[in-house]
Amino acid sequence: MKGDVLVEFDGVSKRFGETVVLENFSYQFREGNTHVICGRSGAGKSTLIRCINYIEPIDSGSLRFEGLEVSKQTAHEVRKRVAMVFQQFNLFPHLTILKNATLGPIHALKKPKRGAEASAFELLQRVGIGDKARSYPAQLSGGQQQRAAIVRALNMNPDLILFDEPTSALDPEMIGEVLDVMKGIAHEGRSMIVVTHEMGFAREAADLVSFMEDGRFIETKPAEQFFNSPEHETTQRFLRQILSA
Amino acid sequence: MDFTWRLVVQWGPQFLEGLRQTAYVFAVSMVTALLAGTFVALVSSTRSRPLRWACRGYISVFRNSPLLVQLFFIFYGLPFVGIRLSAFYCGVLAITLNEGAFVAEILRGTIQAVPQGDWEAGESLGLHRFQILRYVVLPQALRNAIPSLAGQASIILKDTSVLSLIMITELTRVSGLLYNKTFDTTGYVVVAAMYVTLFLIITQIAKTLESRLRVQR
Amino acid sequence: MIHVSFAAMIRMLGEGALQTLSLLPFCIAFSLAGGVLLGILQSSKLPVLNQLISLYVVVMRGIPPLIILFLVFFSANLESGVVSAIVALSIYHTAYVTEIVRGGIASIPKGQFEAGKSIALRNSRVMYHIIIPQIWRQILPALAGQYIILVKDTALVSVVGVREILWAGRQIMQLTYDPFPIYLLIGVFFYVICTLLEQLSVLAEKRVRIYASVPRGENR
Repeated sequence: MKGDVLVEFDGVSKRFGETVVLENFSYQFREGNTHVICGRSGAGKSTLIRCINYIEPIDSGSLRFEGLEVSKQTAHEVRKRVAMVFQQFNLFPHLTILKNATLGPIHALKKPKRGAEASAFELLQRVGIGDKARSYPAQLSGGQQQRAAIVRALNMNPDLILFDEPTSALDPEMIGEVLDVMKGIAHEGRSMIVVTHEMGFAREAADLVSFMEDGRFIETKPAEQFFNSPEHETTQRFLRQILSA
Repeated sequence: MDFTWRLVVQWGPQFLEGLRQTAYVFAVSMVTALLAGTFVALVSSTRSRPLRWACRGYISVFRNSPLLVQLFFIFYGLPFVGIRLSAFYCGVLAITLNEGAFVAEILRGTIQAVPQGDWEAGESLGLHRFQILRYVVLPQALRNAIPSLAGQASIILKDTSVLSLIMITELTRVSGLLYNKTFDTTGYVVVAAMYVTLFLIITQIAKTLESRLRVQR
Repeated sequence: MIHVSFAAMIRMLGEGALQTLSLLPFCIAFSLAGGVLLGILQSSKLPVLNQLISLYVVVMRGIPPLIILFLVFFSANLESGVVSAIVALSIYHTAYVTEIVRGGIASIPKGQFEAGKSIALRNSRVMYHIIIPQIWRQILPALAGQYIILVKDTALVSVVGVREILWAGRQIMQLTYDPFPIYLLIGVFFYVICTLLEQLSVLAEKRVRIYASVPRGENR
């Protein structure tokens, strides 16, 4: 239900070797929201969302997804309901776009092949690459590849989609086509957590925007408030930097 | 698999003698194979086409046939044409020819990998082709080849065990003699441990050599 | 000294050659299966298993195949030299194939594993559907090289009583005392097989290069 708690971080800590990335992090992400997280590199944004589907395990604290404690044992279950879109796309180069999109539904969700393919086709049409279903990733442009990766995620029919800087590896002229797809998903009402520098997207499509630094949310506000009247100095400085770039 | 301590102690002296033989054959063959391989690698970069083909032929024949066959060919064949070589020298010759081919192939690769720019710089300094090889290209090629050459070294170590089949009393033959006398496989276990130790020593030396001599560009 | 006709020589050597060749499919199959399995297990980062497999690999890299042949034959007390030879050579070469497979798996970008996990595939399925299909072509040259070594190692198995081509050669030599035609023919036999494998490897390498020029996450 919209508004329910979807992901709950409670005192979560995570370190990489000597570096502490998250310390005692607590926050509740709610269902139906498009939540944008921005901040400087090294702030912990990517790490945060990668903990949600156990790509990175947390060191201490409690992390729950739809009430389920995220752990090695539950990771499989969590990943059936949480999908991820990567900065480097990470499409499987030896499979067609269609197979990329149906691999998860067929083998993890145990859906029948025909159903999985049908929904994949539909999604590919919707994002504008319906004619590329039988092509291989190498034959697509960067923007098309990322759209295919989004279809791979959507075809899992997830309760939550995580986006890890989805446009950072794209040439500028292709960023728009990917953001358009993401805006469409946001308007459908899907729960999304998006780590990005694309403030235009945040302005248009985000429900909530968080500025993250040193492993903490410095400021979290609804999009309009965030951009028009940011409270904290660090947020203001960051916005000035990024919007003038 | 047996392991009888009594036999280990009893045959101690023979194991040590076998170790000495193994080490000796290894050391000599290592040097001669390196020399032979370097020589062939150099010859294969001449302009003369027949010479290059001869090198390719040698490398191909000795890499793509078993050491044992080459060994028997030499050991049984040489007396036939009047050459009397001790088993030891037959063994060393066979390993040299066999491993020399591998060394030559490795060095051919690393020589080719030296950037064209180094050749051109040498030419512009007025050096002959051979001088460039000797002073500029080969030193780099040799250093870059150390990891692969170290791999070959451990193969040469294993090659020495084949010499047991022409009655040279190195480690493998000693363990065979022990078995023939006692039907106990302790010898093989002991010798296996010794081979692994020697292998680890070689690998360690190679690592140290590589870190000290790596060519920075 | 008994004269043996060339035809008879060919026939005797031929029988031995067949015995040699008959060993190969078994050794290749076992070492491939074993090596793929252990290579995958070693990449799964379970500490104890990892150490054990590494130990096994180091030991096989250090010990001459002759010793393994003797150890297997005398310890396992198998009636048949052929079976001992197959077991011994398989155990020996599995270690090398393990290293080749492990190297192949390590060369796959981490993102592929993460993407596989993110669509809820279990580790075994990630290996089967995503990783192995990407590496099998790329490890073919290394595998071919390894099996060339295997072919040459089969020359050793007469020491455990296998009546292969070198054994046949020795039988003939006991009659004719003339090593040249025998060992020349034996040499040619091995040379042909090894060169064939070498050519297959070169072919495989060419096709890998075409396939591998797939940019990942790059723009066109």
